[in-house]
Amino acid sequence: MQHAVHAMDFIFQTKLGTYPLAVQCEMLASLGYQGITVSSWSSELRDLPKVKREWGLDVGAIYAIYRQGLEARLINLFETLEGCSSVELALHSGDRVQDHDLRMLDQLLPICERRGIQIALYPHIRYGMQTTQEAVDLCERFDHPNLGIVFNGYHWYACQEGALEQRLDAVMPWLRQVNIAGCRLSPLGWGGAATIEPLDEGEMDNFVLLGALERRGYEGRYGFLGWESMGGDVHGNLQRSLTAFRSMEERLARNPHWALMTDLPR
Amino acid sequence: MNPMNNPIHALDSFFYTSLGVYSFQSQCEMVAEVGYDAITVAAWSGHPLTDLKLLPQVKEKHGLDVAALYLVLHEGRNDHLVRQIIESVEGVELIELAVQTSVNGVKAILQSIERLLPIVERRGLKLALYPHRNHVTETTSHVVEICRFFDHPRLGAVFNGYHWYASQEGDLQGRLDAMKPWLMQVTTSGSTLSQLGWGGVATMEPPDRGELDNFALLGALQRMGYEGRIGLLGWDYCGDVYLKLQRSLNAMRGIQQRLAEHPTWADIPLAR
Repeated sequence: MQHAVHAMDFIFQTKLGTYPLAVQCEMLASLGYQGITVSSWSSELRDLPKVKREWGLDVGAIYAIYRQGLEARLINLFETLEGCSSVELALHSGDRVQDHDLRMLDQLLPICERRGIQIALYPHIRYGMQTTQEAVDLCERFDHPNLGIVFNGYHWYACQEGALEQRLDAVMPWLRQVNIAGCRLSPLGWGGAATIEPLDEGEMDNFVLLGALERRGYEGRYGFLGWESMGGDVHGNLQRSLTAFRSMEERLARNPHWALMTDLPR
Repeated sequence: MNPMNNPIHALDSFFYTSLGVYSFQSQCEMVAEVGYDAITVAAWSGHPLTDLKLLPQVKEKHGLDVAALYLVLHEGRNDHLVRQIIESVEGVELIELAVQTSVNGVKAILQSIERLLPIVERRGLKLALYPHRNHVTETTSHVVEICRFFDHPRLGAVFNGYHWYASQEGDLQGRLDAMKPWLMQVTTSGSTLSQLGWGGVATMEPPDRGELDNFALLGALQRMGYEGRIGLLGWDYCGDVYLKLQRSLNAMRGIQQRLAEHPTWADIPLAR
């Protein structure tokens, strides 16, 4: 099957500046992407309702980060959000998940209920909530229909959480969407941990990840992570990632057994 | 001068990623579909992750040759296992042997190799010593020395472009000239000297990238009349393995085609 693919708008935020939302959408639509994830610091959030109408793209989610002091801003975001019904939420109130995060979720979930918004917790290396395990713990604790998880292949890899099959099993009951990137462990990468690259690059085997998700019946969308370290021509990188992803899908449909690994060698 | 149409094979190390190892069936299916002529199989120090009983069926099932079986000798530790595999393996003619460590020194290494030669002879195999960075047999000079010592028609050497480059042996033409009488196989990859690479020495990358000029290497091999196989080393960079196999083969075929059309482009004075 062909999954809907989204680009996270970070890829359009380069050292030279940020592409306007209209250009982002034109590029993605012309390349064949189905949607976009928009960062909460975008200056064009008010234009999200017209993204579907004008470019035929879904706004899959807003990406937001909770840090202490940002409570009012996040509540305002959740209260005013239009044109999108999902927020990918990274938690970084301290060096681990702590009471501030719980209180923030306590405040946001009633708004989500009232406004029909889904929160997908976004484990993020070097943040308070880093691992899929921490996100699963929070989902189990709240056990709320509006609270789930985005499995981010990059952050799972960068954190070296390992045990892919077990981690996916744990995440599956809460899984809302999946984000991926080409990546390799490197001190030159994001946070001194791992690179963020187009999907045809890196050491992380996204074909195997796709296979593991396919076997678990995941039919949702895939978001592609981009970051300024990816460098160069944004359009070219988007194209490479989409081509690589469709190639992986096609191979997986033909040969699902190719994605079944034997024991770990090292 | 022969046209550059050496068969190209993939080392099975492509299929070792941080997520695990692909099954041998998947490896062969992918390598064949991408268009390689053969695959090499690693038996490592005598505990292969591939069932070696599958090797004799590879040609019939997948249309691929098994270009070599890769073995690692730890002299004084696994000599027996290495001998046992060479004594029993079927479906492959060339054994690539890297000598990684030694308990008893050079003399004992030579004795180990000496004990392999009658087996290789009797079974119609060939034994190619494989220079490998950070191993006892690290450089082309080391393996040539051993080949000269035995001067045995079934003992030769692999020229590994990556390990030659990573060891900074230099003098490509001189090294190839020295290896010529013994050369049984060639292996290469893209590479750049870098502390972030394998062993803190040099990266392994698809041959369309890196600082090592594989066009110059293939040109030099063409000039010396090498018509054997060229293997591509995948390790540590493979990600979605299929795409890396594909672009690596495309890069090599591109080099071969350019060499055929413009043989003079590779006539560069090589650094000594």
